[in-house]
Amino acid sequence: MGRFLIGCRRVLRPFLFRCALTLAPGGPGTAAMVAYWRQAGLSYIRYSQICANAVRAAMKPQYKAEAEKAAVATIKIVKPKKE
Amino acid sequence: MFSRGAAVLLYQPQWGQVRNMATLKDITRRLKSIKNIQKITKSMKMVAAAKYARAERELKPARVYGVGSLALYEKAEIKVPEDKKKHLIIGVSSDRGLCGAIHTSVAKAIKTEVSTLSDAGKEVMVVGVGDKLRGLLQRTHNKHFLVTFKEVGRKPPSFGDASVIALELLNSGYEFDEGSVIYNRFRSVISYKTDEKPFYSLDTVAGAESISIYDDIDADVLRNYQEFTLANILFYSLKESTTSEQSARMTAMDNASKNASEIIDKLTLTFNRTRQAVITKELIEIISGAAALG
Repeated sequence: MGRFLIGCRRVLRPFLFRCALTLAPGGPGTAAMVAYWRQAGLSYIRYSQICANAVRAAMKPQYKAEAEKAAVATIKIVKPKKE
Repeated sequence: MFSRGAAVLLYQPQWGQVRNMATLKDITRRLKSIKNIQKITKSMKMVAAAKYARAERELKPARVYGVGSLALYEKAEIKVPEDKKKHLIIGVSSDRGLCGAIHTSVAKAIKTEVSTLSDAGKEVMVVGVGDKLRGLLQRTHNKHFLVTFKEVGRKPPSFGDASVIALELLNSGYEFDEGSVIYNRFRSVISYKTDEKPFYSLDTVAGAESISIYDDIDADVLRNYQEFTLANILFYSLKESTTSEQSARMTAMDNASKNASEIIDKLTLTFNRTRQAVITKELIEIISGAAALG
């Protein structure tokens, strides 16, 4: 009986997957665990940036300086002029 | 210099010599300026060599990272369904010139891609990383430009740069179905190759048949992975691109110094010949003057 259920889940997984996809990230899906930061509106990149900053702030001083230097972003955005 | 010489040649055709008695002062001036240029190109080569060494060192771990993150796309053999319309091309280059064919090769690849995709009826937008690409493509592809990034190439790229680009792309509101990154892949000190790596949108990956092989993937995980992969691909292409650029600049400045040395040798010979000719002329004047008197 247990094995039947497991097999059933494997067949059903793509369907569960598709169901989860159609839902907006705001609401919890049938099988999807939407992360708290995603619900708050952050993207994964922003989330990892915040985590990385927290880790850097917690480092020991001799490693902190190198980490800060390696993490600086110098790039600038240029929006094309609207004609 | 040449134009002045040519103009004088026109007015006084009876002066037989080709360079028309470029005076010693002209040759000296030219020699001095070319020697300065040679010093500058030599020092630029040294700087590029130092930057190249550092870039290559940083490329090793970045390569592992980038290749690893692209492995999913390759292994899962994700194919875009033919009816998907929106395409995004990211060209990765830099702001600074004097590096050979780095910028033009990426721009050429972008141009061919845009034309093939437009002929196939797809909507294409271009993102330029580096000011040079904007300058090269602005005239012809202005309406295809989504956004450009500058201040690339001054400092070695970091993951922070890649994150900025990725965030801007995600927030731009342009819902692309498929995209590709065009960059210069570093092969060796003397060679690089313009390469193109694809990336897909969330819907395309989620809709691929082979995704169901993978265990424990749900929509949220896939979305996180997609965003992270975008930043990863950009980071990898930035690293490869800077290494290629520095090696190309080293080669270009080396060639420039060699050419300058050749010109200096030739000019020195001309200078000596002209100097001897001037001395001979003065001697002839003196002797013929003395002969005329006595």
